[in-house]
Amino acid sequence: MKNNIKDVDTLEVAQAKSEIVGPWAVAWDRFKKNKVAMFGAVLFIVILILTIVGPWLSPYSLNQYDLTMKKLPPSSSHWLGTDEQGRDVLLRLFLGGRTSILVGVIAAVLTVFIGSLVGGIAGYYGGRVDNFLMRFAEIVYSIPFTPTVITISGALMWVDSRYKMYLVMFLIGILSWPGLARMIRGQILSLREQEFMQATEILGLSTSSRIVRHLLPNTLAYIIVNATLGMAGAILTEASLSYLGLGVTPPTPTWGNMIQRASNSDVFRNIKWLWIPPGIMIMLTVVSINLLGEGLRDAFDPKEIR
Amino acid sequence: MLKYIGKRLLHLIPVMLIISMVLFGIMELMPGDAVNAYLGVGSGVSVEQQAQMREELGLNKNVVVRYGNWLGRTLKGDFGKSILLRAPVRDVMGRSIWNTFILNFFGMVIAFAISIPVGIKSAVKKYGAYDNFWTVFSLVGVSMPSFFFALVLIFFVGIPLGLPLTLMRDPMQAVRGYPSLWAELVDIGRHMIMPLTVLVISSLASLTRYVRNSVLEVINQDYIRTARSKGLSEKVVIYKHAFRNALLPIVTLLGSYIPSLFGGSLILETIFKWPGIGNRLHEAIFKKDTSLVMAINVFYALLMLAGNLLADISYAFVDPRVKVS
Repeated sequence: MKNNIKDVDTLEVAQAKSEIVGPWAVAWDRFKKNKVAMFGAVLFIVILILTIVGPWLSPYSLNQYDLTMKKLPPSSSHWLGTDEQGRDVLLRLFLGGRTSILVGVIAAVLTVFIGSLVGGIAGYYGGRVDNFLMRFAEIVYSIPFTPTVITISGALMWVDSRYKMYLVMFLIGILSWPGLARMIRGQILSLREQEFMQATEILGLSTSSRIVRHLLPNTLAYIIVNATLGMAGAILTEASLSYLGLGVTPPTPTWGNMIQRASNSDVFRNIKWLWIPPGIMIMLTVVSINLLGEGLRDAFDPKEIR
Repeated sequence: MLKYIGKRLLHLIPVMLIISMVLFGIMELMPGDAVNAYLGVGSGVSVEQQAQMREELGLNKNVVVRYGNWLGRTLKGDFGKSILLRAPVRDVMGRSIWNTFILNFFGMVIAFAISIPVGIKSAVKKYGAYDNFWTVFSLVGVSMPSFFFALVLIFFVGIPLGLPLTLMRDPMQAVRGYPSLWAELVDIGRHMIMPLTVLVISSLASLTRYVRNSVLEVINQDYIRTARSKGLSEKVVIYKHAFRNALLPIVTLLGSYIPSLFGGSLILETIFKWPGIGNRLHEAIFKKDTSLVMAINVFYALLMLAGNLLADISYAFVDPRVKVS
C-alpha cells in the first residue's frame, strides 16, 4: 500500500514540474520499489554472472579426468567434490548452468519471435489471414506438450549430443507460442483502431514498419513478461527432458543431466554432492526468474496505478 | 450447446491428423525398426526370418502406405499390437490407464481436500504469516522440478523409513499371489505413499493459489459487506456467502482436471516406475514400439481436448453470463 502512495507522488511531482514521465520510467520506478522483485532480479544476475565467469576462475577443465581423485566429498580444493571420473563438480555445475540458461533464453526468444510475428500479422490484417493463423495457433495449442516433446526427442535420440541442445530449444519454442500469439493479436486488434495508427497511415509508412515499429512496441510489456515466465518454464522442461535422458545428453553438462546420474543407485545414495547441487541451482534460478517476471507484470500493469 | 460440442469435435480432426503425421514421420527417422529393437543385438535370427517378420508386420512398405494403413486401422478402433509386450495395444493401455487413474484419483482428492481450506484461510488472512507461508510454499513448489523433489523425498524420507520406492506391488508377493484382497490393497497402498506425496505436494503449489485468488475475488464484493453489516458471524460470512461464490471457478477447475486423471504425470510415473500410461510411453519410445507410442499419443491428445472442452462447458454451466459460441 505504502509503495503505491509513493508511486503516485513521483507522478504528481513530475506532473507539477510539467515533465513527461514515460511509461517505461513509471514501470522502472515501480519495479525498483518492489523489494521481492528486486531480490529476484539480483539473484538471477548473480547466478548468471557465476555461470559465465565461474568456469574461468576454476583451476580445473571440463574433461579433466583424474581417476585417483574420484568420488571425493566437498573439500577446500574441490568445493563440491568430484564425480566418479574425478572431474570437479563445481566446474560442471557452472558449465551446466550455461547450457540450461541458454536453452531457456533461446527457447523463450523463439517463442516470442513466432508468437509476436503470428499475433502481429493476424491482428493487423484481420479477415481471412487472421482466421487461418488463429486456426493454426489453436491446432498447435491442442497438442499435448509433455508427451509430444518426449516422443519427438526420444525418436531423435540418435542426434549428436552437440545438436541435442538446439533440438530441445526448437521443440519448446515451436510448441509454446500460441498463447502469446493470441494475446498479441487481441492487443493489436484494439490498438490498430487508435488515432496514432491513422497517423501512420496518413504518413504513408510501410506495413512492416507499422507492425514492427508502431504496433508491437505497444505490446512490449506483455512480450517481456511472457518471455521471462516462458524462460522459467523452458528451463524446467529442459531439466525434465535431460533427466529422462531425452534432452541434452552428456558429455555436454546441463543441470538436468547432472541430476540424471542419480538414477545410478550408488551415486544416489553415496555421492549426493553430484545431484543435489544442480537441483538446488535449478530451483534458485527458476524462483529468481518467476519473482522477476511477476515483478515486471506488476510494474507494467496499468491497473496497479491507484 | 450441442452444436458447440459438435464443432469442437470436428476441430479435433485436423489436430489429430497433424499430430499423428508428425509423430509417425519422426518415429520413422529412428535408426533400426521394431524388429531390431525386439530381437536385440546378436539374436541369431537370420536375415530371411527378419525380412519375414517385417513382411508380417507390414514394415517393408513405404511410410505413406504404412501411415495410411495405421490411420485406417485406428479409425476402426484397432490400435494394432504392441511388439514389445506381445499383446494388443488396447489391452496394454487399458491396464496402464487404470493404474494411472488410481494414483491420480487419490492425488486429486487429497490435493483438493487440503487446498480448499488452506486457500480460504490464506485469503481471509491476506498477507498474514499463514498466507505468506503458503505464498513461499507455492513459489518454491512451482519452481522446483518435480523429479528433483521426488529424489530428495526418496533420499531423506523414503529410504530412512524403509518405504517401497518403486512399482505398484511387491513383485515377490504379486507372483506368489496375495492371501486376500485386503493384503493386496495394503501392498498397493504402501507403494503409493511416495508417488502420492510428491503428486499432492506439487499440485498443492498451484491449487492453493487458485483457491486463494478465487476467494479474494469475491471477498471484496458488496454483498459480503452487506452480510457483515447485517451482523452475521464471520464464519457464516466466509463459508456461506463468500465460499459458495468462490466455489464456481473451483468447480470449473475440477471439471477440467478430470480428463488429466487418466493421463497423469509422465515424469513422476517414470521415476517411481509406476506401471501407468506415462511410464509405458517412456518405455515404448526407448523400444521403438511404434503402435504403442502412436496409440498413447492419440490418447493424450484426446484427453487434452476433453479437458479444454470440459473447462469451457463447465464455465458456461456454472456462470449463465458466459455464452459458448
